[in-house]
Amino acid sequence: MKRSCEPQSVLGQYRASLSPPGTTRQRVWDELAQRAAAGEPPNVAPPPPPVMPVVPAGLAWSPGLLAGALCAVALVIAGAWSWRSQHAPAAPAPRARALPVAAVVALEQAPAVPPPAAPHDSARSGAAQAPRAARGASFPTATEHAVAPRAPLGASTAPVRASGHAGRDGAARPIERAAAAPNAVPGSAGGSFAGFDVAPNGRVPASVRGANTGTGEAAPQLEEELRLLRAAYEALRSDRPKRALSWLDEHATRFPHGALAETREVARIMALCQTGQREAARAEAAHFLQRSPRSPHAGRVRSLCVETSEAP
Amino acid sequence: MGGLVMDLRPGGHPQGVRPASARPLSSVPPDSAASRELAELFRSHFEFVWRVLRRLGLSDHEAEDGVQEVFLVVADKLSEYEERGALRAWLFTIARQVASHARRADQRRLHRHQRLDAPPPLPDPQQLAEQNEAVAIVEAFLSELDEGQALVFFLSEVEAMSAPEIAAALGLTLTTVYGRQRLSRKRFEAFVRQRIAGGPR
Repeated sequence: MKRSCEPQSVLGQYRASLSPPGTTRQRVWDELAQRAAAGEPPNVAPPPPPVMPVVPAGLAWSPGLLAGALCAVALVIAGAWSWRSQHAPAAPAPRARALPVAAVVALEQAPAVPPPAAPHDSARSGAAQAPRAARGASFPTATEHAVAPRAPLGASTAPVRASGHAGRDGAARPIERAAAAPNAVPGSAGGSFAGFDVAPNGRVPASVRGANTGTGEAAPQLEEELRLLRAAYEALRSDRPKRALSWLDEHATRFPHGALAETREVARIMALCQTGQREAARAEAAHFLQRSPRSPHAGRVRSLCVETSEAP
Repeated sequence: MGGLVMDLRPGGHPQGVRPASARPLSSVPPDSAASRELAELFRSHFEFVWRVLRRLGLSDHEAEDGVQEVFLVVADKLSEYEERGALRAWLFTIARQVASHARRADQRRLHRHQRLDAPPPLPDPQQLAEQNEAVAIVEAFLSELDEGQALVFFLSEVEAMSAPEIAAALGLTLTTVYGRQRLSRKRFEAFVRQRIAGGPR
């Protein structure tokens, strides 16, 4: 582990890696709003609403504390019995630190980046998306998110600041919270959503930045680039080349000269080939090879779409 | 919650799955109160649901469908839902159901079709490895836990859910949740330190 050697940072990066890339939120919402408006029934039977256990005041923290205290007492006693008694008191110390929890807190405390408001969706493969977005319900716009101060992640990602109090509070009245604080965008949702607008600067979700404190901007940008390309590859693998193209378009918009720009171009050729647009794929391949004949991808590019084309 | 009154949409259901409820299903007309409520819930919890689905094994594109599925259930059941602080727990239980359904559907698909050849891996493995190191550590750690423990760890340390929420989501007692939280935190810390000191095992 070269960079992130703290458990909290490790958890932060893990969390960021699970977060949805780019403009997924808007796309998913657009489709969902349409399906809901059409009255499409869900495919799964709804589970019964869960029942919250009753927590007597004070119980929320006491088991951990009690166990810690017992642990400490036991260790101290053990230490007293040991001929190495001077080493024993050190043992209970790590209990109190709960570093992994602090990780999320650290993420949330990352400073807000007020990104410039910009039309987020038109920048992507807008033609297809825009009409659908217009039909969706009143989903918050990119601008709303962009000006959002990073709220402490209300319901969905409230850090367990004191062994769960924040989370419980956050979940207590989610709808009211959401209404009162429309910018309480969870984690890198807002970040990535808004981050879309600011990405050309290499700015990325606060959560990702927080997770990479001290590593500069390059690593988070790369992480985001990787995420987009992974999503594109996954779409290709599952025979959804159009979706792959939309991920790649997004990458091209946000990171036109990104570290993985060449990779994107190769993936684009593959996607075009998979959609059956072989002429376009061949044209892009030729363009690629002309521009970057010595690219490490050149060999692969030459082999793409070969079986379906009369390639040179 | 506004009442969500709807007609059952005619037509078959993918994978022959029955619609979730026998009563007429809700449609959520744009610009209705129901739609705004759904939008608010979506805005607040989209990322959470996404991460849960990803954690439960769905890929990015499966998660796109999965998130929609989760919120379709929410839209359908919102009028009956009584908020008692367990909303995220509820979303989690729905997501779990959706993930399990998606995995079954995926297996059926696999039986029907040959998978396409996997596209080539991302280039520059060194870069990728560096970026993925943290992820690899957490996943290695989670793989050492049994599923129940891993979920408690995930919900607690990654999603910052409270112990009562986790207990509700997983149907566990509070004591069990506290016990697992304590143990897994300690183990995780040791695990990370060991990995940093000794490199990947």
